[in-house]
This record gives sequence, C-alpha cells and structure tokens, in this order.
Amino acid sequence: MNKIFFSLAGFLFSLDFDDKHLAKEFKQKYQDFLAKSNKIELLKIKIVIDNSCNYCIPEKNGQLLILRVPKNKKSLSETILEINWRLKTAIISELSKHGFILLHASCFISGNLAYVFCGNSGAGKSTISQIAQDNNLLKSCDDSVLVNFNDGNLVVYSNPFIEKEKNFYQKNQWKLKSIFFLNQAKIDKKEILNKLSTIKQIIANSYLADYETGIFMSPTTFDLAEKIANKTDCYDLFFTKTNKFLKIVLSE
Amino acid sequence: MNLKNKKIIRNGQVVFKTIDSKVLILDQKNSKLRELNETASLIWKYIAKPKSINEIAQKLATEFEVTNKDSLTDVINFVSLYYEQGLVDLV
Repeated sequence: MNKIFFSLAGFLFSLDFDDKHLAKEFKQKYQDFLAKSNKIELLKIKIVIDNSCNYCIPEKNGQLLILRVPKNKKSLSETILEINWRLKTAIISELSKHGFILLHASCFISGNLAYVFCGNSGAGKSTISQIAQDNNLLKSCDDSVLVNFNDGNLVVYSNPFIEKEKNFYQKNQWKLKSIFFLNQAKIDKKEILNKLSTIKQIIANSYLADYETGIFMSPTTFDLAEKIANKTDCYDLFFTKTNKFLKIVLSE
Repeated sequence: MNLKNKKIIRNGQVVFKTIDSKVLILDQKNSKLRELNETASLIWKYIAKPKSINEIAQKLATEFEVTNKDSLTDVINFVSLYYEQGLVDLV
C-alpha cells in the first residue's frame, strides 16, 4: 500500500505514491503526522515520479492534486524535501480557505502557551529556538507556525513543513499567548503594536500560497489577522540575539 | 473620463476593513494590503452608497476645511486611480 493518510490541524490529506521506497521514506520521516482514519480527505494528493520534469510540477485534476516530481537518484531524502516544499504550498493553500495562517516564525512553549516570533531570514528565529531549548522551554517550530481560531481561542499547531531541525516534528497544539516581530537591536526591549500595525505585520509575515496561481491571500486570512490583532498582544521585539529577551518576553 | 453625470460607489467585491478610522483594502491580485490615507479613507467610507464627485468634494471640503476646488482635485484623482484599479464603480 503506497497510500498514506496525513493529518494536520484536524484535517486529513491522502498521499498516494507511485513509488514504494518513497512512500516508506515519507512514512518514516513524518510518522508523527500519519493517520489511520478513513474519513473524507480535504485534499487527495498523488505523488508521481516523473524524471522527464526538471522540478516538481503540481496539476489540479478535479479534487485530486497530482505532484510530478523527479526522483533524485542519489538521495531519497532530497526527493522527500522537494515533495515537502510542494506539499506545503498545496496544503496551506487548502487550509487558508478554512481560516488558517502559516506564519514565517519560530515558536516556543511556556506554561502551555505559545510564544511566536516572526521575522525574515537572519532576524533571529533560530537563535530564539536555541535559547529557548537551552532554558528548558519546549521548542514547537523554528521556521513556520500554523495558526487558526478554534473554539474562541487562537491556536498554534506544530507542522511537518520545512524546519531546520528534524526533532521538531510532533503532533500538538497550544493556545497562542503573544506574537513578537523581530528587529535587530543593541538593547532588548518590546513595544506593543496597535491593531493596524499588527494586521499589517501579520499579513507581511504570512506564507501565502496557492498551487494554482502561485500566490494567494483569501479574505479569511485577512479576517484571521484581525482576530489576532483583537485577541492577542503583539509586539515589536528589539532583539540582541542573547538570552536577555526571555525575561522581557515572559513578563506580563 | 467624464464624471459629470456619474455617481461613484465602492466595488462590492473588494474586501476591506476599517481599523482605527483608517481603511485597509485587501489587494487579492497582488496579495498585499493597501492602507488608505485619511482623505482616501473618508472617501471610501462615504461612497458606500453612490455619490457624485461634487457631493464627495463637498464632504471633503467640510471635513478638512479646504476649498471645494482643492477637494475636487483630490476626488478626481482618487476616482481615476481607483476606477482604473477596479476598486470603485461608476453608476
């Protein structure tokens, strides 16, 4: 059986591989997110090995998404990585229609609450993850954070998308406490953002994707950004890339 | 563009939010947010129902204490730009 079910944030996706070795490798790598359920999938995805294509080409065929991917002869992991990027686009495209945002951010957990740190490459997301780990805080994600509004709360989900460290993969969810937008600085401090700035920052730090048009921002993304601005404290965090930020972030 | 006998109204398909008196428009084509300035925000809110350019100019002149001539220029610029971008309709 090369068909596997994949669960993320309560939604089910089926992945049908035409290569059993690839299916086996995928199962091993993403075992925390595999599901046994036979409920109806949000999206059916067929992974087809096609060495005539130079890169992974998505094509939509009714309710079925076909990902054509060339097989890297030297490394299955490289092929899995390529598939992961395309799956990320396809799955986020579907989830965004259901009110999810994928933020370009890292996240750690303290007191069962999620602290999220948004920023471009080099802003310090990975540094924050490392410092959190060194201080016995649970790392949730180090590069992309999935958020939605669930039962009156904003919820952060771990996800299997490209993360810098493999050991982040774990299926879990936490209530969102605060979001910080990283700025490099010589002194650590935080400044609360107003609603307008928060919405603009959320959108600017969202991963927007649609496998049909390449880029996509739905009204639900806009609505969720407003909900986050209404319900969560969001700050500019001026960050020296040392552990001094922890006290500032964790203080009320 | 001859606006003399036309009324201007927001395109009902455009997704927007009013946050702290400012209007944010979702530009779905480019996946960007557009933040309207104070003048454009006021016009945007005012054209929820069809309004002539003279009505809009009068509203601006009153709100911002400028001459009708100055506000009319602002309105014509607004309508030209936003009509071209499909954000407002002429009826």
